[in-house]
Amino acid sequence: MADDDPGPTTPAPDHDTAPMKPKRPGERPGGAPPPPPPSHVDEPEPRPFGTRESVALRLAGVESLEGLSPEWAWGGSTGKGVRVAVVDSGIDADHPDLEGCVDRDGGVVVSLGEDGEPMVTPGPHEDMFGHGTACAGIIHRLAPDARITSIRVLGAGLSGKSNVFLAGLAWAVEQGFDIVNLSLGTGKRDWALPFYELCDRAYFRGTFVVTAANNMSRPSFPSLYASVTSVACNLSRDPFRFHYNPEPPTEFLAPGIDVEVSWRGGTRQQGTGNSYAAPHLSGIAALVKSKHPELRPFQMKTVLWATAANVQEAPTAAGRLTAALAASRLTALGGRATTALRSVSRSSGTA
Amino acid sequence: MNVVLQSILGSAADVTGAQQGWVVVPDGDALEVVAAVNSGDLIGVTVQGDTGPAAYVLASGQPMAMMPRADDPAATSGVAAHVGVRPSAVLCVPCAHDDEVLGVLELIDKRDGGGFTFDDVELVTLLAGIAGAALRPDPATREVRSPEELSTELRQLASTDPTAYIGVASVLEALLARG
Repeated sequence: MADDDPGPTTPAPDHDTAPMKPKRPGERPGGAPPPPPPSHVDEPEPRPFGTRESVALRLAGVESLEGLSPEWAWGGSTGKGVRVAVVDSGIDADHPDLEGCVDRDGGVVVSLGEDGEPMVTPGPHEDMFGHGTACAGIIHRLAPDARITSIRVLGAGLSGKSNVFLAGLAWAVEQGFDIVNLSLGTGKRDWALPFYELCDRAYFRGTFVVTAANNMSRPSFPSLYASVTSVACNLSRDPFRFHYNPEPPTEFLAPGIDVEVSWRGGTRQQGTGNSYAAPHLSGIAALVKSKHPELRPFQMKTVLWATAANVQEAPTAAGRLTAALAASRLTALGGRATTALRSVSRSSGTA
Repeated sequence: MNVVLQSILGSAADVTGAQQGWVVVPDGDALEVVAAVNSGDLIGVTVQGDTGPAAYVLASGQPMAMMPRADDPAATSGVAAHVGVRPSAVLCVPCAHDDEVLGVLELIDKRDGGGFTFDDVELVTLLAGIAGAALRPDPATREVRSPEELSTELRQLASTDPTAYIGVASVLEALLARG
């Protein structure tokens, strides 16, 4: 640079003609330093009640809902550290398919005592039918390191009583299980309120309750409640492929047709029913909970929604899927998947 | 014989291609056959209700289709065992009315040798709903509690409302005294 070079000059800005540049928050015109803040700003800004700096307030590594992917949700997870309760007919803990994942000593049998009240008997027990083993096997296939506990509420004679069922679920909630799989329900309206209160308690305590939807045209409790996650069948053979159903109370569809399931006595068989769809979602939830233990039930439901196959594959942004679009997408995916949606709609319409 | 129930069961068997079928209702700890198709004279037969798909469906309220292995003892329990068949395919659906499961409609072995499909589950579920209406108890007896239930309720009443309990007990005593 020559000595006589005046060098760059900085003309005074002409605020009337100069093009507007975007300003950062707090930036002053002309780059002037901001004035000193008013004295009241020195005081800590009050936060809304109940908020705190915590992972509970944000999902680590997720900038927006579109960032909620299956890889983020459960990639690399095995379900380790997660406790899953299966409320059913018992579990054949020695079944080779279960590979020792069952907390044999931690299980309980709930039955009616002589006084007509439910009583809880801890300790190992067998599967009275095979269905609980089937549910446990599905969960174990998806989340091999999750610890599964049997809560047997269908006892000798397989006589299911609503108060026994309620007591079994209450025990699971009190024990603080992460996931509870319920592939059964009761239609008795007298028990609707106790189940409602109990499922709310589970929800607020952080227990994620997964129920099988009832595909009959009558209500079934607690599958109708918003505090639980109700699941019906889709047509997929891929155990990780589940769908969001935009017509509640059934909120998700998962594999439940011609599923190869473990059965009591170390056997296997093929089964069909919503009761096999629920443990598929329980298994996925166990994987998610293992990787993201901080998730509350409503966050878990949001993660499942965002990672559902029809939401992930939706042509528009996640969350903009309409019921009609979901049906057409499912038809394309599964050929006859609208049958499942129709079935769900029918049951939900009577709820 | 309940002709309506029999007709519903026959339709369910026809539409699914099932070879045999029956409707059972709880009778204490047992299951009683109240309708049957292609299975001989089964009506009135009672079987043990502690294992088998019908017992599970009655207790759980969930419909179920299954293809049991030949070595599964549960598949040959219940009515199938009584008939002497080892089914290769089973479809069980609860027959419900109002808020109660009153029985189970069970079909076994499709004529084509395959398993019951999800469409079969849906169709038979609809028919079982009608069967549930056909099974509803007589209004004159539907509110009558069993002695065990009455005893339990009375004990609960005694602990929660002794005054009401004394009133009920007085009425019962008077009734018993009059024979």
